[in-house]
Amino acid sequence: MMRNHGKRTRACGVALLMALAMTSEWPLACIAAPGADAATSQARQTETATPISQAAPARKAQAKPSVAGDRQAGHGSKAPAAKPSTLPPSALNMQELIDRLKRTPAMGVFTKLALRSDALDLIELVRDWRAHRRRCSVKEIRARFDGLLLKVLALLDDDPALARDISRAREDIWRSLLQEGERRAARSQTRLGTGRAVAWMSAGTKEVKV
Amino acid sequence: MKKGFYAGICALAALLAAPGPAGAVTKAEDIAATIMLRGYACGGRAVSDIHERKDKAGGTVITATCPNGRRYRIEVTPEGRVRVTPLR
Repeated sequence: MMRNHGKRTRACGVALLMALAMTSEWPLACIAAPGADAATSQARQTETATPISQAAPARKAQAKPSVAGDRQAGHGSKAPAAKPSTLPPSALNMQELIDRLKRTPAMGVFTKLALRSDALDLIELVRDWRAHRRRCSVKEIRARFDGLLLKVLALLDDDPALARDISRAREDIWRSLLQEGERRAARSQTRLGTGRAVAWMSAGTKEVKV
Repeated sequence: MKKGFYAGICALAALLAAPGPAGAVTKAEDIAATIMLRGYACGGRAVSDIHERKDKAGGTVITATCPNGRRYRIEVTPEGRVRVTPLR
């Protein structure tokens, strides 16, 4: 029974990975449009302000209806202040995520490099969006971010602690990504050599080096 | 006789179903995961017939065969970017 369940889970994981990889191609609709900057600049400004200051708390508020409900259900009486459901805010940011992903034994070097490529593409997309070089909305970038995060979670089957932490810190990572895009837009892009890139990813793993 | 046969079947099933030890991602599994990550069908968790070589630019080119018979070319560029191309 358990063996069948394990096989089924593994098959579902592979199918999920395939589906995610196929659906992640849709943000190609974000077409470079240098002429459309003026028309959409105002919309971008409102979108820029929304995700950082308002959208994330709004999502957090949506994600924690039980806490508010518990407080209301207390009818002003002494409700239990520290419940297990109220998780502490995770301090995991993009750099910590990268460091832990580098060290995790749940993925091989090539998988990590492929994920790194996807992450760099996403950062580049955010940078272009900030520089008004692409006709993209925050929703599209967010959808692509969610797809990438789901890929990572699907691959972290053997490292449930990291998968749990990433899942908890989804909004923190999103904000960190937006800030990273801003930083990258400000400074010139540096290129990594093969040795450095592989050493960057394979540090902490005992896999075969490229 | 029958008991031994069933015991063998159970042992084989357990071997196939049991997850590998933590941190034991083989190169074949790694390449298969990379292929699937790029949206291509592989038909299994591990590839076979892996050939690896360096190209002139300093990158790495790998060819591998998936369990479904399809062959793929995995390129790792000097910048660390990964590109997967089906060979046929």
